[in-house]
Amino acid sequence: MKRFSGKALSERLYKSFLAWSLFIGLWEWSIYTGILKSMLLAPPTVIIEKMLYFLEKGYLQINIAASLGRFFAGFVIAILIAIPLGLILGLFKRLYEWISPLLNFIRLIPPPAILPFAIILLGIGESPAVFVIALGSFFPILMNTVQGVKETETIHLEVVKTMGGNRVDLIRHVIFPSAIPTVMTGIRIGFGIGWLVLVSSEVVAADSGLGFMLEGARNLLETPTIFVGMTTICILGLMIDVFLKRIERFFILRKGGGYLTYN
Amino acid sequence: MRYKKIALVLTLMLVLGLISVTPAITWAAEKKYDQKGGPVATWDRPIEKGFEVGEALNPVHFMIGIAVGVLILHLLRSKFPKVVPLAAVRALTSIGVAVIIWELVLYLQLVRSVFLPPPTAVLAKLQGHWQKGYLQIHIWASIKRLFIAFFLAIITGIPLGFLVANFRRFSDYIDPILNLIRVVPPPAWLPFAILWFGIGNPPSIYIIWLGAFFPIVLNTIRGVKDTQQIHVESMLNLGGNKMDVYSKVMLPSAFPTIFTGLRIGFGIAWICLVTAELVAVDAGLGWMIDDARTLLDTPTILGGMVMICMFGIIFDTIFRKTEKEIARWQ
Repeated sequence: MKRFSGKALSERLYKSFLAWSLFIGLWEWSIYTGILKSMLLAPPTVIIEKMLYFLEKGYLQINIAASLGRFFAGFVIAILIAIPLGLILGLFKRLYEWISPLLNFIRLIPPPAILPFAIILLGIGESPAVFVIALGSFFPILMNTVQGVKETETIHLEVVKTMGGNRVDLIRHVIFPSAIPTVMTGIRIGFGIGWLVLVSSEVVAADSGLGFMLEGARNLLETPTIFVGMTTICILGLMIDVFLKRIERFFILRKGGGYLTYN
Repeated sequence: MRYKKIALVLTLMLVLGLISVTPAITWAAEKKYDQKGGPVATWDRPIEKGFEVGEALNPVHFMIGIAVGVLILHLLRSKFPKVVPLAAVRALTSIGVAVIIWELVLYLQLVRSVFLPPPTAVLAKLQGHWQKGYLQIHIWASIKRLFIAFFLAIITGIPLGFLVANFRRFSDYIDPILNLIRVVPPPAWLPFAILWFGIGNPPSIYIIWLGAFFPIVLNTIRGVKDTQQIHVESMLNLGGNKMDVYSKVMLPSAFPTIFTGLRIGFGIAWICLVTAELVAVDAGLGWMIDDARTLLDTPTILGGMVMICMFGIIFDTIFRKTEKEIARWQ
C-alpha cells in the first residue's frame, strides 16, 4: 500500500484548502458586490448562520435522523436479500443463466421510475421510499456477489474438496471469504445509487428528511435552507463513502490481491 | 483487422454524430413550433383519454400465444443452433415465463388488478397511447432531453478531464472543488436547478448533465494518466510536438477508459432523467408515469416503466457492445 509521505500530504491539504477558500471567497464576494442575486445563490455566511440556527432548533437533526433511518432500512434490506441471493445465483450457474436476462430487465428500470408505482402499491410515507432505496442498492450488490462467487479460484475449491470438505465447508471457508472484496465493492456502488435514490424519493414522496427539506425550502424560495440541505447531504454521503472505502480496502488487503476498483 | 477498426471508427462516428446532430435538429424544430404562436402544445393531458383503452387481448389466448412462441423458439434453436443465439433464447424464455406468471396471477385474481394490471391491459393501453400519438411525444421529449444533456456532458467533461490530467498546476486547485461538487447527488440540485432555470427543459438538462459529467471527467483523468510514458516519449523523440502527444498518443490510449466513463455516466444520467421528469417538466416518460399515478392509471404507469426499460436496454446494449469491441481493439 502506497502511503503519502508527510510532506506530500500537507502540500496537498494546503492546496485543497487554498482552492476551497478561494472558491468560497469568490462566491461570497460575487454576492456581496451584487453580481449574483442573493435570492438565487445564498452567500456562505448566511448559510452557516442558517445551519447553526437549525442545529440549535433541532430541525436539522430531525431531518438527518429521518433520512438516515430511511436510507439504512432500505440499504440493510438490500444487503440482506442481495448477498444470499447472489450466493445462490453464483453457485447454480444454470439458474443464473436463465434468470439473468430477467434481472437485467428489472435492473435497467431506473429506481425513481418505480417510485410512482411503489406509491400506489404501498401508500405515501416511509414504505415506498424504503422500497425504492432497497431496489436501487440491490442490483449492484447482487451483481457483484455473483461476480465474486464466480471468480473463486478453482484451485482453492479443489484443495478443500481433496481435504474432504463438503459443500457447506466450500461455501463457508472458500467461496464466501474470497467473494467478500467484490461484494464490498458492490456495497459501495450500491450505497452511491441508494443515496442518489434516497434524495430523489424524498424530493418526490416523503414528508420528512433532507430531500423533503430541500423541496420545502424551494417552495418557500428559501435559498439558504436549500444550501444547508445540500451541504448536509454532501457531508453525510462523504462520511459514509469514506467509511465504506476503508472497509473495502481492509478486505482487499486481507485477501492480498492488492487492487482497488474505483467506480 | 483493419476492416474491423474502420468499421468500429465509422460506427462510433455515426453514434457521436447522431448524438451531436440531434440537439441541432430539435432546437430547430422547437423554434418552428414557437413561431406558430400560442402555447406550445407538446403534450396533451389525457383526462378523458386516460381511461380509453385499445382492445385488450384475451388473457388465455395471450398466455397460450406466449407459451407457443417460447416453444417455437426452442424448436428453432434445436434445429438451427447457429442462427438462433443461445442468449436470445434464454432471455426471451425467462421474460416470457415471467409474463405468463404475471398474467396468470391476475387471471386467477390473486392480486387486485387496480394495483397490478395484467400485461394484456398494459399492452392495450400502450397501443391506445401510441395510436393517439401520446406515447411518441413523451418518448421523444425524454430522448431529446437525454441526448442534449449527454452531448453537453461529453463536450464539457472530456476537455476538462484532459486539462486536469495534463496540467498539475491547474488540477491541484480544481480537483478539490470537483470532489466537493461530485459528492452532492444530482437530484439534490433539483430545487436549485428549478430556481435558476425555471420549470421546463433547462433544469432537467442541468440535472442530467451533472449526472453524466462526473463519471466522464473522472474516467478521462484516469485514462489520460494511465498513458504509458514510453509512448509519450517515443512520440517526442520522433519529433512530435505537444499537440501530437495529446491528439495521437493520449487520446487514443485513453479512449477505452473514457468510453467506460461514458457508459457509467449514461447509466446515472438515465436515473437522473427520470427523477428530473418526476419533478421539473411537463413532458417525458417520467412525467407520463407520475401523471398516471395521480389518475390511478396503473396500466399507463407500468407501460411507461416498460418503455423506459426498453430504451435502457437498447442504449445499454449499444454501449456494452461498443465497449467490448474497443477492449478487443486495445
